[in-house]
Amino acid sequence: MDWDAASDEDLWHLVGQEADRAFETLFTRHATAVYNHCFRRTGSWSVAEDLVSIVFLRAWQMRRQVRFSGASALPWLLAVGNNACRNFERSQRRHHRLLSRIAEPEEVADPSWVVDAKVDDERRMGPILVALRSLNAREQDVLTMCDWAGLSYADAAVALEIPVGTVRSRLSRARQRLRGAVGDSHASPEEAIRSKRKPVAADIGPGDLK
Amino acid sequence: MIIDLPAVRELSEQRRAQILQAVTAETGSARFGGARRRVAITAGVAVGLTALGTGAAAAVDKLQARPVTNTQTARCYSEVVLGHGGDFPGTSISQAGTSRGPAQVRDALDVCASLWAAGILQAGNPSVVNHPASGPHVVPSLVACTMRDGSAAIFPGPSDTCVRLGLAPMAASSTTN
Repeated sequence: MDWDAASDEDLWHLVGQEADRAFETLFTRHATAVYNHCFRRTGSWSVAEDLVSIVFLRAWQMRRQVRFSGASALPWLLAVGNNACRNFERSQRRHHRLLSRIAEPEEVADPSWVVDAKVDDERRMGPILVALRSLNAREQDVLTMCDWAGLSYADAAVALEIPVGTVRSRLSRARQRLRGAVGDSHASPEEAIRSKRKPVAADIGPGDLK
Repeated sequence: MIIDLPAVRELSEQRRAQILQAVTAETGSARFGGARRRVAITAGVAVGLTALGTGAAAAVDKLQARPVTNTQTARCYSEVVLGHGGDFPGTSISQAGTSRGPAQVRDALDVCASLWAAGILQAGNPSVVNHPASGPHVVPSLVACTMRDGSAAIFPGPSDTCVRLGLAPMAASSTTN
């Protein structure tokens, strides 16, 4: 079997049978997207690392409930990530054994400039998260999935189990409220984000978003 | 105020490997799939066809002891229920990212017994228990069958369990080194 060429849907059907290789391929394919989504929801790279492990463990445990958008599992993984991020402290307690299995990163793992850059990332995320958290949970989910992680409305709708029209209206409200929260009267938050950030879609590949 | 999201970052290869290893260990599949103990499997008792009287050729084929020909994976069942496809009570065992070979099948009965002993498989629970209470846990009588795809399946139950499920008992030749 050509594991790298297999669709998420094909791989997922093998999780539990050919569990290790299929699961490893899915992990490799989507870990970066989940990692960045969790960082943007929590503002901490180290917490995001823990959350990657929790999200994939939860995904394995919930593997019979997976919802595919097209053939991709990424939208569903991000939805699992939303819940894990929201309940991180509880997740930490519940998954204590899992987290204790993950060795502390060695100091040589990241060059000093990367460490500095991550600290800067976290500093910058602070006020953004303050604004984000002024939205309700459902608005946060749809905004971070569509505007920050680059999912289409249809992908977000499948992952969140809501109609596409609801995604649109909820996202519109979320953008408006975020705009108010950041006090930007000159540029919409989504425009500002899109013009400044490196697009997530480009990083995780077109196949992940279809 | 402009929202300037930090750029996307990659997990380092080292960190990615550590996280994946921790997750697969936690799922219980890789943790036990790596067992290399060479313990002879007690094959299910092949029920003589004569004991069942005459039967159709297909039925004969089902009930004869069959060797394991698919060594890629094996199943540890927690209930005497065959299930459908990948949906069955219990868990699969396989080896993560390493060469796969007959040793895994030879270990299947022992690995499944380990899952019962650790409380990860429990009677009446179709899922694996990720945080089992400390033992001791009861290891039931286990019987080895051969699935239709040639892989091994270990069930709790008496020696006629394979036949009752319409499966072939595992041939003793599958268990030899």
